[in-house]
Amino acid sequence: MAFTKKVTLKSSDGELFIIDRAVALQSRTIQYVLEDTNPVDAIIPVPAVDARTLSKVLEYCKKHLIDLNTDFEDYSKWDKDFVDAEVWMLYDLIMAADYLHIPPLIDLICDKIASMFKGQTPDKIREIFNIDNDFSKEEEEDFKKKSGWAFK
Amino acid sequence: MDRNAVNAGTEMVIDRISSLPEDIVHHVMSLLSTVEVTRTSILSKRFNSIWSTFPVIDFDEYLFLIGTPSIDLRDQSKIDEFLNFVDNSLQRRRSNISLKRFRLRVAFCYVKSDPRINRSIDFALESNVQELDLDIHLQNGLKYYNLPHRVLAAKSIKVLKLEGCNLGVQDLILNCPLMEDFRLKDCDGLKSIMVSTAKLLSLELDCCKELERIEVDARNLQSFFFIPSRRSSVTKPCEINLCACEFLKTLKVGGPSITDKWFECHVPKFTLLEMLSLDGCETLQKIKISLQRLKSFELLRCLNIVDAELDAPNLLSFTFCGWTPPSTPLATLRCSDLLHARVSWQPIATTAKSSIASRNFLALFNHCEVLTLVCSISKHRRFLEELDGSWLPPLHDLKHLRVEIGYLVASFKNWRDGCSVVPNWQPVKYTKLVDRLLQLCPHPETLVIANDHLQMLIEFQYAGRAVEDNADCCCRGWLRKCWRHDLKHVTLWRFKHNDQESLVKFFINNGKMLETITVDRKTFKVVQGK
Repeated sequence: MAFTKKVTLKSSDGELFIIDRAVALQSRTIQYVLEDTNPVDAIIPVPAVDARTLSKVLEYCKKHLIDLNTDFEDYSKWDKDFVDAEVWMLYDLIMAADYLHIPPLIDLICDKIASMFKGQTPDKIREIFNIDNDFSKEEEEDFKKKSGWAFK
Repeated sequence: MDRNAVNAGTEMVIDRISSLPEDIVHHVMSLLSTVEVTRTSILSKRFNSIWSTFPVIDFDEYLFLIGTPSIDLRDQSKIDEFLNFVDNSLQRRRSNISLKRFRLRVAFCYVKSDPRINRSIDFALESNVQELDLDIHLQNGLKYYNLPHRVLAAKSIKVLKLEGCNLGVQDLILNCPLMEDFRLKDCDGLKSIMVSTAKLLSLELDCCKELERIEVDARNLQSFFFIPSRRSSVTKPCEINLCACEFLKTLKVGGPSITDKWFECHVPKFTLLEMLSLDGCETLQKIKISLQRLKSFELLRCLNIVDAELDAPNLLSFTFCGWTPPSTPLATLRCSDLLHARVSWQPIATTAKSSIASRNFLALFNHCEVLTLVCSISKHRRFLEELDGSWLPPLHDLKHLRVEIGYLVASFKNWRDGCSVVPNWQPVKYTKLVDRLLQLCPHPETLVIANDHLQMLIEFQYAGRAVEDNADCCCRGWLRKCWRHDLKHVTLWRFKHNDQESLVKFFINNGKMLETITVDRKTFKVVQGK
């Protein structure tokens, strides 16, 4: 069976991305599509991901193609820069990584989001993520009292 | 108009993290500490709901105390504060959620049974917990926490780890259908344990001194660990039957129960064994091992072994700790060329007989890839003296020798007496050490000397031929001449200034063909005769 070397992905907003098959195979979702249908020159729609996010995800997949010339340290520096993004971008990325099923990318972004929670007060966390506090003052005080240790 | 541009403008002020799927937020939470996870519960109603279904609960009193200045662990009010926190957190959670993991670690509990601890255990059991990990340390004298009986009868548990508990039964029959991993550490009350669960993969019984009988009928068991006690060598023998476990891959055993007879009738059956560790088997005298798949073998503090044969063609790692010169720990050794051998040096008075034994022992490692000698800093003088003996076998084929000298190196005495303070020690004389080591290993490619902080390295390059001379006494009687006759280039890394200087002198004075020396990247030419 002859495999096509290139794969075309179509983002939710209609943009086409022609990439190497090996790059696309890092997404398990796409891997399943390719294995099931083996579409020759066909376009694989990615309806849940827009062009801006998809191009960023593909940038990650290209970098993480197993490349013996790149050592481990190089990746971690690159990864750190990659997730040094606005909160809304991280949100788009993680939804895309979840949809496309790319576990190392999910891990990477979760790690970044977790680092933004670390060492912050609840007020600060709400500010970082624009979370609307829909508890009443009394409810909040009650929680704080009961779980005193966590809010010192 | 470009839709993306519009998005970029508005998304910044919209809370989108709250609309992430629950499992992704749980993933993020799994990377946070318990305190941080608890903080998320008051962010918003949505977060409270996500938090209340987070399937991992981990309460560790040590972690709670980190950052609290000068805490007295025995302070009851602090322990109460922690246990109240545990109690309140659990009351605020939804109870119908299946738990993946529940861990509770109490550092200094002051009663043998506490309603808050028991409530938390009940909560875990009612939530069909899959992995239950209880580590409860009681204050001195109280010893063991009374474990509620329900735990051992729980049906949902796959992994059960208990430390510091009194199990409340003398004879345990473990037959939970899902159990894959069962570990007891420092638990009391148990006299016998019978295991008959088909799924069990790993069984670990560490420091359960009272055990008299272990019967394992778990065909799929891959790993078995049993050390009755780490401190005293006097423990009751325990009858161990593992005959049904033919798929065992890892076996770590110790104590007086491991007799010659036990060894003979068990170990040859484990044809899939990859890792074997014998630790403090003081009644063991003879061992004969012939295992094709064995990759790692540890022979630790088995002091009465007089005859050992090891035939393991795929062995990659061998660790020995006991008296050195050893009585006769190994008569034959067949292993992989890639073997990394590690020998802990515990000197005793050298006699002519023991010297021969040591010589034969060390000679076994001539063909291994790396030989590591370990010695505690308090004993390094003795180590040096013993290295001077003419008994040393020259290991001509050994290419990589490593020596570790340090405080942290576990010494045999410390193991016997518990941890004692290392007495005064004198600084290591590296030049003398290198000289002695090169008698043992006359043609190394690398020689590493490591202490607790630093690894010093010497790299050797040789000329293809040895210098012709007859008037040498350094390696008389050897089939092959030593490094003095064909060393061409030597590189020293990370030695301190004084040692550097004296090592450079040493190599210049002794290396008859030495052309260059590199010291931390700077290369010097050697003019012979000067």
